[in-house]
Amino acid sequence: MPPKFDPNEIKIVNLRCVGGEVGATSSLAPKIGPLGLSPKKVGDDIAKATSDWKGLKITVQLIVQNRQAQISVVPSAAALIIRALKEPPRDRKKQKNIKHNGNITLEDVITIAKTMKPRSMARYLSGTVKEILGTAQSVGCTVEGRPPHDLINDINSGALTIDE
Amino acid sequence: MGRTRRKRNIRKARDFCACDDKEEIIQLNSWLSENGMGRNDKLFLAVFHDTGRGVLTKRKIRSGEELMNLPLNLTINVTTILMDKLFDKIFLENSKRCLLEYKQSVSFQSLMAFYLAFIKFQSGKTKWHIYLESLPKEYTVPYFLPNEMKQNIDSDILTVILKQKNIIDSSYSIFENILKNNVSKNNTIQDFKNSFTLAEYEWAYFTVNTRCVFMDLSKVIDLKNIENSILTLISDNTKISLCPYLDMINHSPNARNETKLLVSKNIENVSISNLSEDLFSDVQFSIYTKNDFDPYTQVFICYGDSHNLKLITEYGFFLPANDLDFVSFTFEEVVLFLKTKSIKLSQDQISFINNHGLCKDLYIDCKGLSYNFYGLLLVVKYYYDQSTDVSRLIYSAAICSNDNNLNVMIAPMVRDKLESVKESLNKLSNVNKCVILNNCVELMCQYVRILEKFIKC
Repeated sequence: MPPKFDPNEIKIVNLRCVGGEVGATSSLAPKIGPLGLSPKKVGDDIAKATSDWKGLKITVQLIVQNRQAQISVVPSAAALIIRALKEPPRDRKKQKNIKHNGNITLEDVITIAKTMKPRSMARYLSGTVKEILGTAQSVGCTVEGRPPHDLINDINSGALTIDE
Repeated sequence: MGRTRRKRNIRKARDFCACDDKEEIIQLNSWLSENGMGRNDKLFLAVFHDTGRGVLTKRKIRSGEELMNLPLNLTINVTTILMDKLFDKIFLENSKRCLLEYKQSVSFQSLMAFYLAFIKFQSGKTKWHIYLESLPKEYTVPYFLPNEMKQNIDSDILTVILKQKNIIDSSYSIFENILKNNVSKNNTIQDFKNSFTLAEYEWAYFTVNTRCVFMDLSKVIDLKNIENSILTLISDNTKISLCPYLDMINHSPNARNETKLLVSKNIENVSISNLSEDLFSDVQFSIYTKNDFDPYTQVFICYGDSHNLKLITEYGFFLPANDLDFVSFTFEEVVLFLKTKSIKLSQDQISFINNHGLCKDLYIDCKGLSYNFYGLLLVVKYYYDQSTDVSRLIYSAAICSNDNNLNVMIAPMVRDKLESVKESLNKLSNVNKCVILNNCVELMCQYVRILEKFIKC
């Protein structure tokens, strides 16, 4: 049935996968099989489209129309931080419980905050930066050589200001 | 090369001829610009050899550029119908309480078609008459095929035609009854009563069907409190509208576009009793392209689903070499075929199939069996196999839709289908061809190609 450009014809599927790897189709098949897509082909396409995020757990959004999927990576704070750490690629299956004890700059944090701004609930950029610093703390890395929570305290006290 | 030869060569290479100088188009363009339509000044109308009338760009269009924006008052949408007091009289000045009697019994598309037939009848008296003049006089959808030709066309096309026919017939009889019981003394309504025919309604229905676009006005107007308005008649949503000029742009499956409703004033949830044209003077409907178009090429938009069955039955055209075409089978057909092979599905198997939705979307396309079809056949074959867990098999990493055993199992049914399509094609070869029939034949040939490819594999 018409009308033209009916958005109901577009199906959006979100799924979590590891970048650059052909994931198990067991998570993919029940979601996209009934939409008329081949799980195997889409799995390969996702691996290709996420090659920039090799080894990182990311959320992928598939926009399906006309039995064709358009793949886009939904940025997440943790994945962006780990990417900013520039760690050497590892084999996920051999090395377990990896510690991300590297260091990133405040510039990196602000860049990540700007990427995440549309998804953040904070009113100002400083709020988003604090969210990212909180994620950095849980990832386990340092910012400018200091524990991330120190920077949060600095922002709260006004010692550090973030320009919009 | 001399100047004349160069000019002739350029003209020969072009596959269109401009039609902006036709009287009706000149009138349409000036009417649109008088009423505030903002059109990209690169766009012109032209008749193309392959697609017919379409929109041409004289300069390069880049991704993200706005193609046109239309004021809301220049589109025929739900507010237009609600604001037309004369049209309201048809329903309100009635000997029957038709709003109650026919509550939620017609689609909005049907109501819009009835409205279009009404304004078409008034011709010069409404502001829409220039737009109505620019509309095609007839449509190439298979609905208009003569009955003797319909007998031999494919069952998929026939099913869609029957559905359309049911909707048109039932809504036509409702509107005819409403008109019959109308007691208004207005001359226009009285004359319309006598001249409203099925042919007029069919034309209006397919005008809406082939040309309407999605427009969601639910944030602008309050569509929840609709008691005592003609919207109580409709059974679905009101998200369609007719947009002059925008409906001239042809379809391409590769085109990407975006539409937006631009509301500059703070208009929210306006009650349907307070509607006025002034209120919507700042509301605009805008369309952007996400493609690049070279100078002197046709501008396309994507209508939505692009398989040929939909394009032929809803819009009346065919896209050659379309990878999205598929031959569908019903669950009942498959069960019947399995019975002939003395395979009977148990109650457990049927409930597994229903629970996992494997009874819908059973089709074969150029890549082979659809996922659901493949899953269904796996259930048929491996459900009672001790060594395999069928749900793990369906949803496992091992899935790929070219298991030869399954293809062999279903091959006789596919062969039968192929034979029947070929037989129908043979019968149709003796019939006088027309554009509509050619489209149907093209689609059936495409079915033959898909089925032959499947059998070969």
